[in-house]
Amino acid sequence: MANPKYLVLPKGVSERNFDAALQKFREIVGAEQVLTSADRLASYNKIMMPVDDAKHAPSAVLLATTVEQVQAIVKVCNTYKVPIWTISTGRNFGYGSAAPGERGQVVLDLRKMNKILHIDPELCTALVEPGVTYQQLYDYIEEHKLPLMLSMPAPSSIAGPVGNTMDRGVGYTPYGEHFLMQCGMEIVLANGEVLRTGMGGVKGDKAWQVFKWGYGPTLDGIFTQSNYGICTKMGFWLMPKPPVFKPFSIKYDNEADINEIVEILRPLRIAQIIPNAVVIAGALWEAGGANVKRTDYYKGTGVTPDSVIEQIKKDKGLGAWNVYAALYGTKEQVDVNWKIITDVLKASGKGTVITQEEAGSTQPFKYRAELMSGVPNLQEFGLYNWRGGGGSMWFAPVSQARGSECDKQAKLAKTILNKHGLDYVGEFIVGWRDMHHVIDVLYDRTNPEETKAAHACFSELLDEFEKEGYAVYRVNTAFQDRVADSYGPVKRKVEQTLKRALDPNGILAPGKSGIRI
Amino acid sequence: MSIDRRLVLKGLAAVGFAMTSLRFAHAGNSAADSLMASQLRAAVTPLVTGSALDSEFLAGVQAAAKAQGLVQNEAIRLHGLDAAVFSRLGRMLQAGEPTTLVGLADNASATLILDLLRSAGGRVISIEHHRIASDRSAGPVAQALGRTLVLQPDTTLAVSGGQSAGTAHVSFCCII
Repeated sequence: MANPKYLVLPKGVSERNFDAALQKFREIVGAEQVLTSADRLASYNKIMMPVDDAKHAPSAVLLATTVEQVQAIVKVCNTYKVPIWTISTGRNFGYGSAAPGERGQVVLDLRKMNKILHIDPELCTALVEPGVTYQQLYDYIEEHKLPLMLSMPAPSSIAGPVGNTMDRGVGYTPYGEHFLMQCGMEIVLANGEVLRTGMGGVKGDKAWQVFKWGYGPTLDGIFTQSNYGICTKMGFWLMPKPPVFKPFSIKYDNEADINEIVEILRPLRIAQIIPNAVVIAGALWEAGGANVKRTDYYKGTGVTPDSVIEQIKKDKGLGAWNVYAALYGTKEQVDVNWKIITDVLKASGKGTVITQEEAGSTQPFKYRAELMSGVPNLQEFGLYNWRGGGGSMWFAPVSQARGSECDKQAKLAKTILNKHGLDYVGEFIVGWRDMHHVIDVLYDRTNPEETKAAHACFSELLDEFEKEGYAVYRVNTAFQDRVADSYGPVKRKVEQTLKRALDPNGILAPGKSGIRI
Repeated sequence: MSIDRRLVLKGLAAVGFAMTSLRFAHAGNSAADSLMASQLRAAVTPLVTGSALDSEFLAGVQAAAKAQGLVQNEAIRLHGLDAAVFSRLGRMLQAGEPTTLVGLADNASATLILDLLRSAGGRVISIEHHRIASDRSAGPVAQALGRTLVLQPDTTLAVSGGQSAGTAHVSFCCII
């Protein structure tokens, strides 16, 4: 039955105790920064997953502006056993957005903690608060004419480095493995104490943002994709802006080419001839990036017919697979590497190379080139217009960077998606030795049958990929426990042990990555 | 029921809409309710994202705002997914005068707009996804949406059926 005073209460918390906790929160952050009315909470409940909104409804939202406020908030949470779900910018679209992982959790929104604390143009480091966006950093770097380049994920403009890195997201430059480039965190623990990782605990230290390891166990990793603490500051490395940047694309006409593409690219990537996270994008992903809507071509239901996809490819000049990569450095360096790459491609006898000069400002090349050079944009949101209806889940299994693995994954994914009436909208992101296979499971969330199919499809993707020895590296909040199971009972037990030690009342994001006390 | 509202309801029935109840019901917060009611009487700002239905939607908003004696601000017209444009929109939402933002947007733009609105501390009165067929009924549907979002923003509208092949849109009413 609906509670007359609150839309929902946190699990296990009485109305009386919630009243008292909210009063304490108001004393800490101010009454205006404690949101409980339906119209203020609605945008924190906007999910894209195929489950009922009510499963992810927040009971309240707290807007903190200082570390001291965060410390005081967790103390109140311990007193009243109120669970909180922390977000930075809250733009993890398709993974849960700004909504809490479980119904009734209080959202702790850190978007107002948005100070760029330090950028060192000589050491190429940054230290920022959780609410800082990539656009904000980009504007700062441009305004101060700093010779630095950012690495960012596709929702770059409105997302931020803290949230993306803490969720182990990736970008598209040579610094695209964001957690690898992270250096130093400030964490508010569940008991209110403040931990600085790496060199950050040493009095008078100046190396917090340049030396990651410090002394003893390196702790940073346990705070990513977890619920052991709240990150209130994060350091990371920035790439020096190269004098020459040369983006390019290679178009392949056949789906079967994926095997060969990866075998050609892997040696170039591992040897750093191609230094950035190469993308191999499927035709429909590219169609979304080129502003194509499915209804422009096809009015039917279910899977988009191959003949329609072929027509889109023809109209937009897209391949079945479209490789994006870039070279960075001096002219001499770029020229040498360009020759190596073009020689390899020529020897393979496949693929059409497209340079920036040839592509001009056409999409999707333009936005891909921007992402590879650290320029924020929003073009990839066009994926949400492909099918429409507001449903999106990222299915992101990892594999070795081998052609045979990618071929197998692409075929398996397409078969399962098509079986459920959904399209394969996917890309591979080539790490140094791994492959992130990122698939956007797009569906019409306003259509109950399609929503049900999307849920079944996602479950089957997880199950069938697991049977083949694959697991996802990240998942939306509706499937966290399922994915935690993929990594085995011992890992789950260790994570629970850590949780009980660091957060004995289980107030920090219970359920995040399947971790609870 | 005012004459205007009756006309809207009649119009909606004619173009195949079903009316459903308030989506974001208030949880017993009378202060917030009265604040919202007073803000809903302030200026109306329409927002569109470059669809073929923009002009009909804007006409609906304009007619309803005029009938209610509300100030209507210049429409915000977004085209494409230009980051600089959304950046400016975000700043405008943060700094803007109190207004009721009523929009008809594509899915991608709506996702961005509504999240910028969250960051600006906006209040969401209604959000609804629609599939609007590309036929003669589309114009009246868009116009009806515009009118209803102004006259009865806490009522959500749902296509009554048979529109699965239509183009996806999102309508919304928010208070900044």
